[in-house]
Amino acid sequence: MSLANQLDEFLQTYPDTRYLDVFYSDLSNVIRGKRYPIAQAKKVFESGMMTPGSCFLLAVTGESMDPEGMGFSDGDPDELGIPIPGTLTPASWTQIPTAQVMLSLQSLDGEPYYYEPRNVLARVLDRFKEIGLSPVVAFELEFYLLDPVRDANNELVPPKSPLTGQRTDATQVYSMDDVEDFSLYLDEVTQTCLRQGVTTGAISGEYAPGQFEINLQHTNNPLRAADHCVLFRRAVQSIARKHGYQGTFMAKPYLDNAGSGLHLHISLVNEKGENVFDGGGQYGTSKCGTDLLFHSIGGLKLNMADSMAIFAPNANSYHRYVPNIFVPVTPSWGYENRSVAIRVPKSPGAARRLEHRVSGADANPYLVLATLLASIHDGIVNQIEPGEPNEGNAGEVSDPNLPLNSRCSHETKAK
Amino acid sequence: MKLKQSKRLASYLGQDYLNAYASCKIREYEAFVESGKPETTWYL
Repeated sequence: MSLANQLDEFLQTYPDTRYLDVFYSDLSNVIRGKRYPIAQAKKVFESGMMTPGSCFLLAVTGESMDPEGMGFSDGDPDELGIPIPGTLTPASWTQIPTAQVMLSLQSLDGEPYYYEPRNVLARVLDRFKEIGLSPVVAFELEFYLLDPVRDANNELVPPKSPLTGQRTDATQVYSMDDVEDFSLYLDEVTQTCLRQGVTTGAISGEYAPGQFEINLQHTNNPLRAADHCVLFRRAVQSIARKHGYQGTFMAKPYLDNAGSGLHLHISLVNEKGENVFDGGGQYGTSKCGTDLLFHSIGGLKLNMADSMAIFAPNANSYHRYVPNIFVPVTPSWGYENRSVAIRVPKSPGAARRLEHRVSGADANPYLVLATLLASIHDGIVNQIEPGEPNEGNAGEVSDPNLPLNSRCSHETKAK
Repeated sequence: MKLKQSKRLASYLGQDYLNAYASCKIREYEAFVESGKPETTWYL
């Protein structure tokens, strides 16, 4: 079906739609785009929308940093944005009936825009086609709900419970009361995601007041998985505004409370659809995984230090890396161990996978996935050994070779 | 920035991409330091 026909079909299902949001998610996960009257929406599907490519290289504050002369220095040229098939969905939280569609940028002759994170991921995925393997991935994202009004000291505070009117200040991980207190909000998020083709899984109250995690289902389409991450984030933050909260995926909004992570579960399947990480042996032994699993872990460990600027993209991100709070501070791996960077979760063999636990929720999902898959490919092709699994607490002392603070991550600049 | 120096990752993500990303993030960090804002709320 052509893109224009997709719009026609959508409008038959949602005839009251009055606007179309045409958007992309930038380097720092900020949603940017334009809102079109529905009468003018067809031209976007027929000929695209022009937008500056430099929007994919803005700072988290939205300012142009003119990196490598892109922005002010080159006159800020436009690229052509084309709707991504399958992303035309209702934006059901809006005050006026509105649809939304995601864009991907390309040149006028159809070449994918080099600096768009989605296209960076596509380049890495091409490398997997060469070795006959396909990644299966699932994102887990933590986020905070905040009261949009700060306290008397201008500090962040959790929202009041809609049920009790009280502001929670206790930490009760997996508290079902916390989930119930905010159930109307959480239900609107999950139902909205469902209408957008984003299947969510378990919801949990996390380690701090106002902090939640909603899992996204695994998929064998990594580009679509990251697209779903974008749609999920927009739903979480937009519906929070509607309910009178502020939703944030900042990695460490409170210095004294838990940070928010982006965990990724990854396995690989061959052309027959078989999980090539499954060694068939008993879980927790070397026989439960294959060389492909262990070399993948080896690649992830070897490249971890170099990848930290992707996993922790800004100054706030580094406050999340604190020993002894289940946030990885070492390039480690292990079985059923939440203190390591790469966990092999307990599961039946058919679901054998690795969980990467290093990235903050503020990281760009396309770039994190691209970096992890690059490291996995590197590990497989170069047969990089992972070393022995960690037992016990691997997060007691930070590894000095990891750039786990802002200054270290920019050490090259300082020299 | 270690990322920019990683030949292994550059062979996948592209050296020009890593250069641009690193340049953006280094300048972003410098702007943040100059702003004097708290690290918990500076971009909320």
